[in-house]
Amino acid sequence: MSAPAAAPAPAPGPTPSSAPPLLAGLVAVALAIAFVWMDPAGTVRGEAVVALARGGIPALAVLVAAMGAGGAVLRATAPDAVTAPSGWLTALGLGVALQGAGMGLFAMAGALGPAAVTVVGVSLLGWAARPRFTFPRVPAAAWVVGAAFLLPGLVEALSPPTDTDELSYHLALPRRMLSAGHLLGGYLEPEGSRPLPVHLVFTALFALGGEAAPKLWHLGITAALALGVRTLAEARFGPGRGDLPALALLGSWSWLREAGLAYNNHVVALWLLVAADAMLARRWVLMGWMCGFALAAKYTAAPVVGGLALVAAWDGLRRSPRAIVLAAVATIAPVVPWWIRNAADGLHPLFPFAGWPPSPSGAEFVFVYPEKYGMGRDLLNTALLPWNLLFRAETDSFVFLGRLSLVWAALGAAAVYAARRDAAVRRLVFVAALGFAGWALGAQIARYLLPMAAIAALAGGALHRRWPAWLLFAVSLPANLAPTLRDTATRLAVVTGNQTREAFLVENVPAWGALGYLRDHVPADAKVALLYAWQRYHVGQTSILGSVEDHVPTRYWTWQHGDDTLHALADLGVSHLLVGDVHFLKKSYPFLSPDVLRAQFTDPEKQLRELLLRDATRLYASARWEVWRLDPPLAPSGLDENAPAP
Amino acid sequence: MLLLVTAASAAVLVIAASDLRPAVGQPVRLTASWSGPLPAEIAWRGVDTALGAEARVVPRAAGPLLVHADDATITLDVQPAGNAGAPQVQADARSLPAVEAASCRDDRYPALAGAWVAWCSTTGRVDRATHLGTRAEVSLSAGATAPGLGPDAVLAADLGLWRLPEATPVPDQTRVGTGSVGPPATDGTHGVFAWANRVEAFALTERQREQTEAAPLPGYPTALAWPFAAWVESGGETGEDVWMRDTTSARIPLARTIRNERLVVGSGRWLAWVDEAGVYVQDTTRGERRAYPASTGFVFGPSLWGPVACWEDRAALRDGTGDIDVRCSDGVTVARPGHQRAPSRWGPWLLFREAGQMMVATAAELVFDDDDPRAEGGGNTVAGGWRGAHRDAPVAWSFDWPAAGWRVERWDGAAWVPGEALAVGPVTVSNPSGDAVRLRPVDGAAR
Repeated sequence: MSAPAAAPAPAPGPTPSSAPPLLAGLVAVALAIAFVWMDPAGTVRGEAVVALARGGIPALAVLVAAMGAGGAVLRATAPDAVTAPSGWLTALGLGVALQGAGMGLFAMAGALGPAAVTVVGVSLLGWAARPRFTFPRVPAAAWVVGAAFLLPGLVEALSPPTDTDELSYHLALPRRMLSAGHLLGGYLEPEGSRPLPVHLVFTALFALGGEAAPKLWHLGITAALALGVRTLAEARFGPGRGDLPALALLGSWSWLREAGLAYNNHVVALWLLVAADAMLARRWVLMGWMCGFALAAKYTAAPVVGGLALVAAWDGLRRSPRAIVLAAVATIAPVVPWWIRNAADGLHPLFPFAGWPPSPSGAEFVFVYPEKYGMGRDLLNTALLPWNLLFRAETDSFVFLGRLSLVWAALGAAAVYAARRDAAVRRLVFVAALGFAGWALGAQIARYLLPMAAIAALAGGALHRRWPAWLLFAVSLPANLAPTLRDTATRLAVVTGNQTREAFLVENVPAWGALGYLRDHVPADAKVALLYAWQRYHVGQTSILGSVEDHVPTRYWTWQHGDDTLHALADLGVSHLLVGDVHFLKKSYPFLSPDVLRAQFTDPEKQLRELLLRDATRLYASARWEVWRLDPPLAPSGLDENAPAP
Repeated sequence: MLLLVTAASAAVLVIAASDLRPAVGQPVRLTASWSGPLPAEIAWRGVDTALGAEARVVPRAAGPLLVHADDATITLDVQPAGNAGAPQVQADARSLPAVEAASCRDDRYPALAGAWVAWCSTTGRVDRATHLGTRAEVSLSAGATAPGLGPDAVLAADLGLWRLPEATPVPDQTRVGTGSVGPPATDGTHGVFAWANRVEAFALTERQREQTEAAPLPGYPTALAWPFAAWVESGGETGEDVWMRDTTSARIPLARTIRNERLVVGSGRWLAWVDEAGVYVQDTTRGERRAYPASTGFVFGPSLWGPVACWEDRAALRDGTGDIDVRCSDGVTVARPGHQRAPSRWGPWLLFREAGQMMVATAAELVFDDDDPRAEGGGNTVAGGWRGAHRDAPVAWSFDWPAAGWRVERWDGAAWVPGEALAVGPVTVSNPSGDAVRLRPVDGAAR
């Protein structure tokens, strides 16, 4: 059989000029903007486009600047890494770390604020080094699918913040630091005592583009990470092997819900993925730096960092001991300054996770109760943990507080199977397994798995295409998407400009009545303490004691100060209180002894209620939220008719 | 619909006195309604000391005493003698197990609408009413989260007016829709509603809604003493203030000082509010403002039955010597172990909360003396009689009475003389000898 005749080559045409397509593109964009602006139905109002531009342009600029800065450093230190398939991802991770470190220097010097522009500007200069990345070629269908998954994140990013952790920490802290111009922390603002490499970048983004910028930036990180996992998996395992690993991330509710939020789990996942890639390429120092920043951003990265360190020691200690030592130094370098800062402030280096002083009675105070999450820690539940995690996790309860795609089962099994023969997969599986074990020993919250998720997904690239894993992905997709889409539907009106921000927040922030009272009727220079309340972001005044974990700051303050709780706040200049009505139930803390539950939870709550009656005046109440004013010394009535006659 | 919008001008508009019939030597506090910039520069005349919008005078001789503040005047009718001491009236309390204390979304309820306890079913909205005397229970056709409560009346802005015991709203009443910033107030015939930029007060059967420019604080109830209506505003350097619309719908400051005047309520022709120093009850027609020193106003506002105010008193709690008790200006007191809170008063009944339970206390007796704000009659106050003084002419008292089985007793200078049985409804009782009357339950009457 003869070979088929080759098809005739097409006749060469004239070389296309880039000018007409460019012009057409500009015209198309102009027409699109004009259409949106002039749409009589107001489907998407002009304000929405302005909001997207105001947050999106700074977010994109900071991401591009990070890649430039990372690329420049990479080009100078490991030129071959720049052109590797993962070069752009490595540069992005390295650049974000550099920006966080740069902001950290300004922050430690007490000069937050305009520093944001400086750091971004300097980062952009990295492109002057002309790093030549090899950007991945992605089929149009993959772009479309990825965009579809991330669309809810875009809606989330452009809508007013309502997420508990954003309101209490991720957005509240950058906003507070920006207005204060320096770092915060201590018992009154424990979130500020954590290492903050990501939140300092958020601070810069907030300064440049308002509240949407950090969220859109994070959405960009999420997209880059999904693309990075796909790229690395295809580079390592072959064409088509990156789709399911990327979709395992995008198709898991726990991953997807954070896409448009200003969170830090995905950033940590990015750093750990770059670290894992560097480990496989034996770039030990780069791995160390990435591990260090991941650890600084989230201590939940520790088990994965430990796994990477063990692999590095196994593989590199004999052949390049100096590099391993440098890697170890690089791993702790991003964290140690924060520990020193805490120590200098008289706190435990690991505060707020450790170091809460005992009560006057000597009893210990616990910051986090890991036992609260998951389905139990007995032998049976530990053995069933993977099963429970995939089949019984709930997005709205302490039963893992999340949901994952069922395709993780296939990816995990395939990776373990492939680890028999593939040394690289074996290392990735080892790291992921250690990460999972560490997670299982700590608080079993599904999102705490996110730091290791990208590495696990990459290992899952070993999954053979003949396995019927798509079925598992498809069957679990509705359960993972439904909560996200429900939430997206409630946000569409405000994002498209068809609902006011005020109306949206009234509907979606339970304390909005009380927050509105604080905004409209309490002096802007007042100091507000949040007791059993977490909505710090929406408090315009200087605020302290917002809730974290189980309302730890409030409980601790009350527990420590007892009868003087409110007087001690007044001594700090606090004049107003935002108070939530909480009820700690025994069934929520079955692992606590009745004495501890009473001493650290129910008694402080009751005592606070009594003290409010004694020492404060309620100004506003709506549902479970109240605004109180601390009673000043009684103002003289001036002219008391009961006084003796002059 | 006719809209009338009026604004205040900066001036002293009226003067209030803590007692319009003081005895010689009895200090009187005078307050000018000052709407101008602070500190107030008021030309007081006829007073002993003045401090901005407040002044003090101690009358030296019986007879009329004219006081000026700028162009406003008030005349005190100084008496040769005055009553002394305040009565203490005990009240027996029982629980109301059928009414869940914490069932309402808005914790100002359950509360009294006249003799009816307005309370919430499992909906969290006020949609039930139980009569304290007859124990009749009504399920309202709809529930409101924060309605206005008046004598036998429940008013919701978007649902209309219920006249108890009817279960359905009165037809053809004006409904003003949603968006009001606090609970309305009603006297059963009129209503007052607060919006972000105005207050509207009108007869509920009429379409004409008279508006007064205002900035009511959200969450605070309005108050009605028709044709007057009052509300709370934030006055910046003066803190919270109580403002009032007068008969021409103009706004005037009722209580505007450096203290925080708030939680205004109304009943009949009286308005009451609190500040850090006490409770104040203003007679809107006569210009008398009684002041009761108290440590109150920290959560729930005062309750008013005519000029009788009841309030949460936390003086003992702040001193570290006790807890929160309920006190009333006519001497009714509920001081039991634990906190007694959220008082709501009508007639002899005092609704309150204690340890998560709804309770009702019934006064053992009520005494109306000749210095009671409701006392009508001429003559002079002379020495001798119940609490050391009496008038030398007959005295009468008019009020709404809700409880069956009570009778009147009159002080004749030596003893209480049994009189007629007291009817339920608007009543007038009198004492020809110009001294006190006492209301007491007939032996065996249900409480």
